[in-house]
Amino acid sequence: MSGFDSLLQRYLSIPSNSEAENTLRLLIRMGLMVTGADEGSLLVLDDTSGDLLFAMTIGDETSEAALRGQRVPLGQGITGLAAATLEVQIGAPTYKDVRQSVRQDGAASGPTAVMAAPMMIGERLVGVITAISFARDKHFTTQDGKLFGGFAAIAGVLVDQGRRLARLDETTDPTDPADLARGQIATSIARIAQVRPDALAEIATQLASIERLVAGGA
Amino acid sequence: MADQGTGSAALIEALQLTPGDLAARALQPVDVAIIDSGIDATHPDLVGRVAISIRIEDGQVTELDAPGNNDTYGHGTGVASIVARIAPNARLIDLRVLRPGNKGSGDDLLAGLRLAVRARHPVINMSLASPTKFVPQLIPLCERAYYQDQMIIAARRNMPISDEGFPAEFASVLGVDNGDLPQPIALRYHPRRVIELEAPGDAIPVAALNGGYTTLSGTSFAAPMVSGVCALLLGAFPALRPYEVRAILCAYGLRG
Repeated sequence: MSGFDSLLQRYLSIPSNSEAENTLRLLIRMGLMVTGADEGSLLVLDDTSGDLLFAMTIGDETSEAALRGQRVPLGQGITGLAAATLEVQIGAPTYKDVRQSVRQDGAASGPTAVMAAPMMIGERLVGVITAISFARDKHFTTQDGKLFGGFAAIAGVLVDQGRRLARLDETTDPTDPADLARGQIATSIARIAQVRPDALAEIATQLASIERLVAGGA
Repeated sequence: MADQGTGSAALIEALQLTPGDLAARALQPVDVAIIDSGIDATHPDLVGRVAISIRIEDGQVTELDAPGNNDTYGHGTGVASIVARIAPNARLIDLRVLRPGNKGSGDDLLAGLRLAVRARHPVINMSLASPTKFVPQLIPLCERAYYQDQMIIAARRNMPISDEGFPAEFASVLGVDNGDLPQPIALRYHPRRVIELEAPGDAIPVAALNGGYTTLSGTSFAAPMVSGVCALLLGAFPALRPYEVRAILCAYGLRG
């Protein structure tokens, strides 16, 4: 398992090469597309140190290798501010002169616009996703912030689901005959729901009869 | 000139003006509390504008001997620079409730607001939203501010999911959204929305840390536009009550 994979697994309970990881990557990519951003990243919160750690970058493969695992303290920059305020933050680089900042004609090699959105489970922070643009005259609007924040909100739900599933897995003993039976029943019902959804009502009736029998026997 | 000793006369006169007209009048100083990440009082745009600098950390209140750089994020400095630009009569009261490592717990934010209400600062700008769990404590505090003739101006959430932002949602608070409006101080009024006022909040030039400048976007930067206009109104017409200031802002907002 690579360092990147283990970061997602350790902090977000998302296994490597899983559907959840691919969906998360897709979500951020879509967030970048709809806001016209060039690159983005996902940082996870390390609760122990209070730092954010780069876990994923989108748009530039070279930057992923360079940034992975790097720490951003909560007090630093727009990413740290999004984490501290639990709000989408939208900004630009700092200029020495106010007129220059209005024109936004800084060097094209550097970012011209940045945006960071908190990834939450309820009111608890789990990470931050960021978007940057290198386009001359580009600035992210509040509307961009709302859109990007929406993707961050969905990512939070995805992470929450992943964690719940992981907890379920932890409480299930694969050698326990009862757990095995429960798994088989669930798999069978899922298969029937796919191929014969019309049969579900009949199964429900039969299960209710069995339940009454068992309850009566007890 | 109308008698400024009564609110109603001031209300009638102020309704006929624009925010631009207000800035040109003789203005009394008005304290504007900025509850935020602190203010860099050494920035050229803010030198001499910050009257008091306070840090609130885990409920502990520390007043700095003299205003200096009290900001690590730049958010509060940006917010303060907007108020300072719009209202030359604003005396900024820096209440730092957001610090490195503080993940928006809300305890300090609540403590900062409590301090501002107790000190009776007439205008209180909150470009930060509180977590929902603090709502029961925020409501009476904001009500008290209203009855003490204080105006709390609070930013709507940039990304509202379950709420518009607290305290911006409260009736006792003037909630501000970001609208596509000309800078510096055009307003828009929406009588049927929870958040009634819109002010410009996209690509706002603001003071940044280390003496620089940047452009920031979001409701955080729309709220201080309104706080600035409130400071102008109260500076020009000190007899105005909060509900009258609100009525004037709404009138300005209807005119566009």
